[in-house]
Amino acid sequence: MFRANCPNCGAPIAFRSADLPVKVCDYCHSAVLRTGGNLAAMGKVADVPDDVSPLQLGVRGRVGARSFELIGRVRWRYADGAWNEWLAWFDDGSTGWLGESMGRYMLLRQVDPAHVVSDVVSLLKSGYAVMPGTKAMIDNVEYWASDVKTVSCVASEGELPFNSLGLSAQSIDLMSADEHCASIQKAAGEDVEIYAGRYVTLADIAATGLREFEGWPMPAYEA
Amino acid sequence: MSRHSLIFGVFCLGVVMLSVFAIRDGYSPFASAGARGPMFFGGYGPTHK
Amino acid sequence: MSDDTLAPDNPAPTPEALTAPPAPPPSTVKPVNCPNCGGTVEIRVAGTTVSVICSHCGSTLDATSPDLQVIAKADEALKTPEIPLGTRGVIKGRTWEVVGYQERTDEEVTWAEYLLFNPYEGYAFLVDDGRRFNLGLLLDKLPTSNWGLGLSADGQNFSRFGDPYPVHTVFVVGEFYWRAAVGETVQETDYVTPGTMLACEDYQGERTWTRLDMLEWGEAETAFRIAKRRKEYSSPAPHERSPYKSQLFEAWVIGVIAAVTLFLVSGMAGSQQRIASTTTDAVLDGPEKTLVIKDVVLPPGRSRVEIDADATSLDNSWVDLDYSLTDQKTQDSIDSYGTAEFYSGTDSDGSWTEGDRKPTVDLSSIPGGRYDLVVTLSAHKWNGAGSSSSAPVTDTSLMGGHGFADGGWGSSSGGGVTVPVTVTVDRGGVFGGNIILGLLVILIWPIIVLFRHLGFEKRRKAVLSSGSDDDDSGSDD
Repeated sequence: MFRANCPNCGAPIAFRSADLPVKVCDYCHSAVLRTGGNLAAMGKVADVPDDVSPLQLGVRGRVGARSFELIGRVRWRYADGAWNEWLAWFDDGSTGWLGESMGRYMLLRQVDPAHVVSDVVSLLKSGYAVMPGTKAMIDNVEYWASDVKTVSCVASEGELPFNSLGLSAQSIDLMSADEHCASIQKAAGEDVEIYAGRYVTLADIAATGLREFEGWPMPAYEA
Repeated sequence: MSRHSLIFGVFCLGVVMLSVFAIRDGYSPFASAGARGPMFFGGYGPTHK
Repeated sequence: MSDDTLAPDNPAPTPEALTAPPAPPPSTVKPVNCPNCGGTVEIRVAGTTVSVICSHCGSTLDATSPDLQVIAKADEALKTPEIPLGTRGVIKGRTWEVVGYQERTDEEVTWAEYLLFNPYEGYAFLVDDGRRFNLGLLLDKLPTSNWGLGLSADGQNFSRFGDPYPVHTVFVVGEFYWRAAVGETVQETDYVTPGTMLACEDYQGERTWTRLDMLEWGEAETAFRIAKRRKEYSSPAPHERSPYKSQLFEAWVIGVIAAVTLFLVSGMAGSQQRIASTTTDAVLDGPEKTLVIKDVVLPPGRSRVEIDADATSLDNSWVDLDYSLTDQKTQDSIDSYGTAEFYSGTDSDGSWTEGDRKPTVDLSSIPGGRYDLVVTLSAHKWNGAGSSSSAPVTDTSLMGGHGFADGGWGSSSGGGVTVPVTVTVDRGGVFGGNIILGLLVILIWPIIVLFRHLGFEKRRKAVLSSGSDDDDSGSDD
């Protein structure tokens, strides 16, 4: 754990991993980039809006034998809506993303492009449009593109592997015949990133530390 | 077991009981002669010549 | 949210701040003002809701814009949902809040769909067709094909019901996570299995699968505190279970057990026993003959008595038999009669025969005692048109032509032909008619239930002319 002070407001700030160089200061909401021992304030990020998500930073969950904690969040916006992506920090230091959209959750891990056979990657790289229905083979599971959107990051909090300020990207959702789902993204000036995983429920990941809401009985997910 | 089925079961029991009585007395409403009406409890029998 | 609400210039919490009571959990409901009419609109799923339709003025507001921009105005009268927006209820152990309401139609029937929300469960649909309620959930996995017989999903097999048909949204109020609007049209295909429907909706290239489970009568009404619907089965939903099925099974099981018991009980009646038998000769067209069978003994109690007459040599003749079972002591008699007859001949269709040469008479409930059976026989020859006599002739000298003005049925000299007649008396046995009556009476109810069930299934399977019946959900992006 690397502890320092926010270069913008001086409040204490901590980074738990070199892989997660960006942290949104809890107090002044500046995005702070850490390179080695140096911290640089990158600018204010918008507050995450007050929403009805049961997830919050600090929620813990489990996939099989491995547990994780939600330590960061990015909110992506598109023409007809928005969704949250929560950064899941696993016990072994690896990360994944818990996507939250329309009341459904997807647990995704980044996939090495070598495991992906699809036109989507090359189309994105060369800037061509991807049509829904385009197929992709990821880790021997067949997917097809179900949704193609231009998204921009409108808010973030916690620790992140990238600087989300002003980020905009092409985002493609892919679905499969079973509960697998995938997401392929390309931000301007960045590489194509491929994430794959499956739909989960809060019960599936035995989520604890969820937000409480007035009048709503809190579920107890154990086992 | 629905309410209807219970009532039907009792009804069938009644039918079987009635047939036991009829068999014991060699009774039938379809016979050519003899006791042919529902005369279990009354007197019944031959006509007078 | 988390504990990051401390002021920047006071990072270390003071002991006083630590002992302050924790903030109460926030409400999920956020009231805002409608920019069109100024009325209060409650946003229940902030962050996910995309369009909210004001319940006062019907304007559609963009929930993704910070100032709730008006996207559309209402051009139809506002309706009030039967379950008010914001009502919370528990169904199958889960709490749901009504956040949106739509009315949709397939051009034949119109139904209501409530969008339900739970912060920890996500969204669900409550579909109301006016009679029954269904709870709908989006499928995570696509259904798989079931060997050409239909689809499989969640371990159940579904078969297609009717053809694909269009569904239009005709009214919206409340909030939705897609751009719900009047006029939205989807193409729907339904698949059914008893109790559950799989609704497949195609909208602008996107396909959504929803699984609708029919709720019990009164389940949704109790959960959301509205009037209970009256049970009736005049127009069942395509996936509605027959309320008569279990009743049918029980009725037939009980009926079969009763029928078997009836047979067993009849079997215990014992078999028929012969108690007297006599043979005599009857002269065709001769004088009446009286035969007395003496000492017919019936055991104490009451018995079935069967009197048979056998006149196998009859041809184109008949014997009238009058029986009088007379109690020796009281001379009370039980009277009956039988006719042994047989006729044959040829006509344009070929040869024909008619008649029963062995008539049976059965007597019911004869009291025990000693009886004499007095049998009065009268045999006659039949000389109908087209008949050819083949009766055995013992005295040919008496054959001769005689006029028969009465068509053959009157008495005349038959020529002294005799017909042997055997009269037997049996005791006991069973009345076949009783058993059949008992069976019919037993079967009345199972047959009634069978027709009720078949009628229900026929109504359930009836596909309305422009497509199948109601029930589905809406969800798009």
